[in-house]
Amino acid sequence: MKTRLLNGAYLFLSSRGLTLALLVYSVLLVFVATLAQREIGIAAVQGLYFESFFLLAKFGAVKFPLIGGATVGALALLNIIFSGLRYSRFGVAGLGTSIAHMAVALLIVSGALQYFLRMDGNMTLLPNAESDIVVLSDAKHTCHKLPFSVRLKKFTEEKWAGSSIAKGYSSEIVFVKSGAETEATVSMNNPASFAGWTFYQMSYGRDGSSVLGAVKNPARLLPWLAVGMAFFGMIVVFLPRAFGGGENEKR
Amino acid sequence: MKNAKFPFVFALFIAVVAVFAPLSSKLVLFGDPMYDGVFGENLGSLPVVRAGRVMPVSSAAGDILKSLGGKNSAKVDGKKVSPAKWLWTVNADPKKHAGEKFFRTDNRDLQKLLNADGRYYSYNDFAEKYRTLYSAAAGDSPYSRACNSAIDAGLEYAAATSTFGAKIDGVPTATETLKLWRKAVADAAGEFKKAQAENRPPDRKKLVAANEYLKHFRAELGFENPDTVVRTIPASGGFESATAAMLDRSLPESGAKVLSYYATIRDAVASDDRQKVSEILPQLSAELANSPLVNSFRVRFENFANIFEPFFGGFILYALSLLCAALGAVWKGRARAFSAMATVFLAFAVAEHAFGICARMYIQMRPPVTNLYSSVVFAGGVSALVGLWGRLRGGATAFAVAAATAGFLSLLVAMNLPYSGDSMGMMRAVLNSNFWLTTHVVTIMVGYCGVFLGGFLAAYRLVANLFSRENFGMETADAAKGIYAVLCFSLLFSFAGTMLGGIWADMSWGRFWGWDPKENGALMVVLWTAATIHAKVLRLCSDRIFLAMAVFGNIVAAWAWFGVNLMGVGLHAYGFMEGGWTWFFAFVLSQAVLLPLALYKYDEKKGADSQKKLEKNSE
Repeated sequence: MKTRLLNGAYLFLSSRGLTLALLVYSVLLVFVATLAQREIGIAAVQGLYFESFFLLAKFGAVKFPLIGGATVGALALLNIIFSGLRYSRFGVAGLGTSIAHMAVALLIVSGALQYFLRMDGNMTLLPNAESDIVVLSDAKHTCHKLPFSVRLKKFTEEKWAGSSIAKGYSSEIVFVKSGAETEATVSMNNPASFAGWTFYQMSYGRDGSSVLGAVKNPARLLPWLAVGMAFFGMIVVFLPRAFGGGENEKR
Repeated sequence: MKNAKFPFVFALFIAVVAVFAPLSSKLVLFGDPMYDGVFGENLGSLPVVRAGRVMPVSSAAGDILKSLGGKNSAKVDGKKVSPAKWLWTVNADPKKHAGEKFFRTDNRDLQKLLNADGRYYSYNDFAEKYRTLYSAAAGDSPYSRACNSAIDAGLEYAAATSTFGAKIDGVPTATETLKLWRKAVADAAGEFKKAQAENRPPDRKKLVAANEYLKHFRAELGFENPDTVVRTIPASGGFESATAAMLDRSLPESGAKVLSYYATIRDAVASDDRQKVSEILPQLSAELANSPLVNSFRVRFENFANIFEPFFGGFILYALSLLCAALGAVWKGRARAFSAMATVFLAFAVAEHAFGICARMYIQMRPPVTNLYSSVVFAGGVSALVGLWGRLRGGATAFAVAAATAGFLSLLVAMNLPYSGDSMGMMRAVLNSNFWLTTHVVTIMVGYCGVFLGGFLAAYRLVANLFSRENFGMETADAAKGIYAVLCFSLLFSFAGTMLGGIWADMSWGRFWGWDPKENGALMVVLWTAATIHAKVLRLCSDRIFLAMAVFGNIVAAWAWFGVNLMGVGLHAYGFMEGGWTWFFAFVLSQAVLLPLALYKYDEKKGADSQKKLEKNSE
């Protein structure tokens, strides 16, 4: 009885039908969630639709239950692992397919890790003042004390000559830890990292103050790695085909 | 067989004519050599700055016309003229042209208030109702938004009428105005100096003139919008508007010269003194070329591109190609000749389309895709190029038709997108990175192109299936195989593009993925393409259902590309459009009606049997 149940679960989790169902369902979920952003905003949608196992979607008076992003992610992860065990093949295309699918699994795992490990907030710095407080972007806006402090030397806003269009923002900052100072510049698209925290140019005030986004994310590079792997895997699968060779599709 | 080359040569001839059609119509039919010209100096190719970008007068004037009236040409005294001539003409005599009804509003209530002729009203209509508009502009109703736009448009026009120099009412010319102003300032300065030396308060009577002028110009300057005003005078910190330059106390020598030249030409245009214009123009041109901001060749080149209008020429050629393909389908006896002509037109269209994209890249010094407009143009160009390549490598006519359709539609959509500022405008801070614009944006656009190409090929097959008989199964299978390859290619690119977007977001905002609508749209494209590919490769559906899934990909990609922009939520809302929903739904509907075609199946065996029976009976 027990083996039959396990066997059934294995067959279900490794089934091709589940793969397709999950892919199609996730398109639907993302679509509904995007529509919901108009009503409840992006942050609320993220919590309700993508970081939950089940949810009740509400559009005005219309309500319907949905399977949340966490369930989809977990099922997809299991599906990739078990169907990999069941179907994976040797050869170049088989290798590429395996790499690409492992990378997608890693992407899902890193998504989950970000949920548990990532901390983010913002830090307002007045010119020439030092601060070590990050206001976290959770519901309660908790203040988090950093093990070092940050001083703003100068904030610069640059505009394209002859317009009011912003060309770039940058903050010259100094990280201060037990007396030692490290200088850094944070600008648009160019963050600066120090002691596990990364700082981004986020906003600014009229008084010359600068607002930096502050993120602590030990798993930051994991998605980058996963993406590179997936791309490599797909290249291995598709490239031989693009040149007419490697037609190893079974008939 | 004797004259097999004739259609080819004939098409070649027509194609060359089409390439130069916009240019010749602009120069010969309604051009004026003083304002419009490709070579040599003219009043349309002088460098100015608008919204931070150095451009020729013809571009600035065209932008103003588009933003006020939605059109790229204007009428002066009932005659069609180029944007450059229009701008000079309204500068020369603002009062005379204040009655021309060319401002556009789509709001019915506002049309009524402004006594509009259909959608169009004049500056006088606006000025008359200025107070009413102003009090109605507060609020967030469609009407108050329309009032706000009308006020912006009116002020933009008012500022545009003194682009080349200010003229005060009652003073006959701009040159005279400039002279009086300079004299008043010198007099006042002299009086101040004298008073200081004699240790007495300055005589107020001697300051009155300068003060009056100062008040006037300051008021004018106050109404100028920094992002729409045309800056004509080179000053120490970049270009300034004529009014700002008059008030600039540290205006360099060259700026003062340019100010005088412009005023002189403006007066010469007002009195139709062409001799004077051609006398001053070279001096003005030389003085402007000295500015370190100006790359004279690039400005001239942009002016040429404005007149050559490669996208319009390409649009005509795509249409000709489609026409030939259609004629070939109807007139079977001449099918080969028409097919050859369609291919020639397509090749020219793609070349001109590509030239237009390259020209934009050179003018802007940016990668090809920087905003919604250029994304449409680029996607159409790439699809057409891929289709042409397939056709030239011996592919079916379907490739040529799909290519021409993609190119034609993209240019049609691009030309009709609602105006949202200079389409080659400066990039805002976060977008100011050629590296990411190239890697993320271009990659993702190539991916979307693939999805559309696959989708359109699938749509073509589903419709063609209705007329298919003996080879129904084989043709469907062949199409599915080809589309599968296209979709694999698009999955690779859309996945890479989307994920590169994640890395960019991680670099600039500190998060890889933020569930922003545009990101969600891209994710939907990736997921749907993956679903379609898996359905085929895992043999979970028939070829016809696979084709339908590919067609549905068109809807998903259209949602990701335009639909989410219509929502107006999130960080990527760069191309927000009001009132685009109708077109979006029309497209979705056009694709959705094709989906049930997947259920249609021609039974080859039954068909063959009945065919045999028919033959037997006729025997």
